[in-house]
Amino acid sequence: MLGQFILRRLIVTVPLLLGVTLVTFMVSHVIPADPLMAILPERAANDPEIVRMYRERWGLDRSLPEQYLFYLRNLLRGDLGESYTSRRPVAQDLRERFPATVELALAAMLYAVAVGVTLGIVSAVWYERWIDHLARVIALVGVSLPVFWLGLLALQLFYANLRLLPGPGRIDPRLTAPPFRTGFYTIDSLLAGDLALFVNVISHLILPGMVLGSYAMGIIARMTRSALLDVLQADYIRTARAKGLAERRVVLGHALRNALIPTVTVIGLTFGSLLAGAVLTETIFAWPGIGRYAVDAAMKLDLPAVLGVTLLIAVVYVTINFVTDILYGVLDPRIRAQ
Amino acid sequence: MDEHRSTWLSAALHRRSFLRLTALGAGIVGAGLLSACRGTPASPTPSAATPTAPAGTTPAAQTSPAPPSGAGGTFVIARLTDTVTLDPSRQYELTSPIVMGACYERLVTIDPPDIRTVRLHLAEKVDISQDVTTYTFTLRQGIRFASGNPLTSADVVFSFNRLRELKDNPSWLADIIQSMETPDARTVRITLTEPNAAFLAMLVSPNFSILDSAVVKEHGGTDQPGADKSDKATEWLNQNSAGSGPFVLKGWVKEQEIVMERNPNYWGQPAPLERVVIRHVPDPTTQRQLLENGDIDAAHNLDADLIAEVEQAGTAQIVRGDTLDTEYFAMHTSPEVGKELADKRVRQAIAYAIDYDGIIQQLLRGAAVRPPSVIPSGLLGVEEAENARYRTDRERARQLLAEAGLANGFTLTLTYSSGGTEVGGVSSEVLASKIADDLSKVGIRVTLDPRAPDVRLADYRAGKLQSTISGWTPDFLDPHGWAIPFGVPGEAAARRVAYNNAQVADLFQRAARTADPQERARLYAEGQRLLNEDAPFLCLYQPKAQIAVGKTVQGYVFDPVIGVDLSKVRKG
Repeated sequence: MLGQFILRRLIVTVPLLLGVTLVTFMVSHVIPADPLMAILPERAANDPEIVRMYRERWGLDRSLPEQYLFYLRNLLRGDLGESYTSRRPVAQDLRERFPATVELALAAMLYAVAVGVTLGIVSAVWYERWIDHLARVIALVGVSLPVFWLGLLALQLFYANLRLLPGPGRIDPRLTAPPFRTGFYTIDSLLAGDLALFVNVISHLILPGMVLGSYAMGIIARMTRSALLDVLQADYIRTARAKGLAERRVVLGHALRNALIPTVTVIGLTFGSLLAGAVLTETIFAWPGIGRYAVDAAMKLDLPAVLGVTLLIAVVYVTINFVTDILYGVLDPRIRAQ
Repeated sequence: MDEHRSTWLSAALHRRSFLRLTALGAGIVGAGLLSACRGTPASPTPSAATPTAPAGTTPAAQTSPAPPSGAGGTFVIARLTDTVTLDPSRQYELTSPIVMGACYERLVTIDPPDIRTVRLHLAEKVDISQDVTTYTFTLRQGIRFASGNPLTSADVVFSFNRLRELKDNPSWLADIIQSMETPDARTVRITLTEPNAAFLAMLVSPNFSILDSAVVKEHGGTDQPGADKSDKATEWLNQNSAGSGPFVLKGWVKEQEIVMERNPNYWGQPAPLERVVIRHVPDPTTQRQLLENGDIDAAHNLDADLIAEVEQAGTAQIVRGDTLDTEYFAMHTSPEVGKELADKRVRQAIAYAIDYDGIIQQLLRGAAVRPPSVIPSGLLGVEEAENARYRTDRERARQLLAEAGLANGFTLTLTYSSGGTEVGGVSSEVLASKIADDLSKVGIRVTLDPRAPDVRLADYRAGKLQSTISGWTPDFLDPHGWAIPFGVPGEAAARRVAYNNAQVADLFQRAARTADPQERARLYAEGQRLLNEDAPFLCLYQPKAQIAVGKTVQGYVFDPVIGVDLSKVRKG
């Protein structure tokens, strides 16, 4: 039954992704500017021969429907096209940059879930006590502080002033990156057998991870708190308590499991936004991820790059939704049964 | 998330220059450059009649030349990198010249802070024919590439041919070469398609680097016609170098790092530094923190405010030098697009209305100069054009508007890059607002029209804008590089404002064919005078380069062609 469920979800995915490419393609072409005129340097833009060469190279001399079909045909072969600005395959650009973003987003998520869920439980259990108020303030601060401000402040405090944590970048500027295998520095440094580098990589993840994860942390804390409070009012909890179960087991064993369902949804959705929206964190922390790549590509009218990133993020969202749905089933057998 | 709302920051950090900074200087080609030349040049005599002394380049703590020891260490530069390729014959961006300067060498070079003299480097002698059409170079003896191969005249021919045949962005630089002959392994005779006194200055450009032809061919390179399709060496050249310079390229990861190491086989004096890393750090504040914490040795993108703060805090040295970047105000001259601006008097009125000093003092904290026309200060014929300079005079502006029948003013649309940054790190919004404010004081109502930076650029190039602000970075070390695009109808800049004055075009084209530097200067000055009278373009400022380097760094001098000569840098 689970297999059927997965299959159904997969089939829905195909038209969804097609729709994403079509919409992005159309929107990008609505901009009344010629990408070549924006990309080529002064002299080249003035040279009809060079302009013609690039127009041909990128298929811009064809009609719009032709260009779109051309794109789809290449896509089936796993070819995302060539970036106008980097003049390299978009797939290669993404391959190099996506692991950096995923690594950062995972660090952020780890922080957000650990701190957020803990704060949420503490708040709900000690409802309306001082510790609840404190936890709620922390969550509120996490949700409301602008990331760029938090990032600059955190760097100034922990790096520039206190010198407790390393500065921007995925490793210390004087070190050399591990040989590229997975693109995850944590894994690559271990594969290279360089433990010192691994420690350096981890230490570089702490600050940007906390900054990027602060918003998700706040949301998760609030969501966990309200869901847990709801559940704690439920009849079965009263029953459990009446049976003389230890409060600890009531909360962690019975209530939390049900309270986590909305939290899992939030975790899934915020993880997607962490991947897609880390632009400022990536800028401030000199992090070579896809957030900045997407913004740069959009600003330079680099259509294949924009399409590539959009598609990648769409795939990520679809995957996360998919995983979230399955997790629901695991957490709540009633959903599985439907 | 807040991230989405706050993209202004990343946008503001993204310095876009529309042309690569290749060169600078005084470009007095036929003129002063031959100081290092031991032979008797067949023609233009070196002359002291060089133009305007540029406002000086401040080096970091000068050192007496000391033999490099085993010390050295790693030198880290943080900057906003824009590298697309590190193939010398294809690169045309702002970061790659630093690598070209370190890993490759050219026949001629400059030695900042003196940026007015083109000096011989790989060549020990050059003879220039009387009609500035034939240039004969004699190569130095004993030059070897990092591979160990000797550098010969065949490598020069291969490099220049490949530059042309790749038909890539910088290929036009080599279009002027009609033929090359190599009578022997040390002699190259280059004949141009037409007389051009700017050619020697052009050769300073990193695109004219001499490549190790054997190594490049080994990795799929070719200089034959059709190289644009058949040449396969670029991928290798993106990760390795094939030059004779003091460093060798060890690797490049796009928008992450470029790593170079000292060339152990260098034919000259070995560089003091062992390793140089250029790190992609987009945020200026981040660059500052890295520098002050000692994690990097040079920060390339600090804005005027950060420079002032660092200088005041005394946490780093500030290296200053003259760029050849210029920021200008463009006005369309046709009645259809330019509307009121089609009347020359209206454009002149605007020229008198802008508060140039205010722009430089308020927006650049004084770190800029202003040449009389679009040709930057420091180049031949610019000082001579001094009397054509506009000075703020609101009374005169109002008078001109009245003469044009616009005593009650008019409404002007000023298009600028939304969230963009102009040359010198000035925010496009701020500069556009300042100009709007200046113009309002003479009765011109400005409608500010922000557009996405590349949309604005595309529209400007298509000649659709009534007025705009734009930047220009140099192609090579000679006024020729500005005179043609701005002054000749149909060329890159002139076309965008439909500017057409046959007299100006003729003066600028004649100047390029003139060997005598004084006569050249006169022609350029006269052309600039007429150009300014027509006022399709108004130069707003020419920013200074300001680089923050660590306190123990020595020998760091701003070089407008290659950014910095890394072979002279050392750490104390």
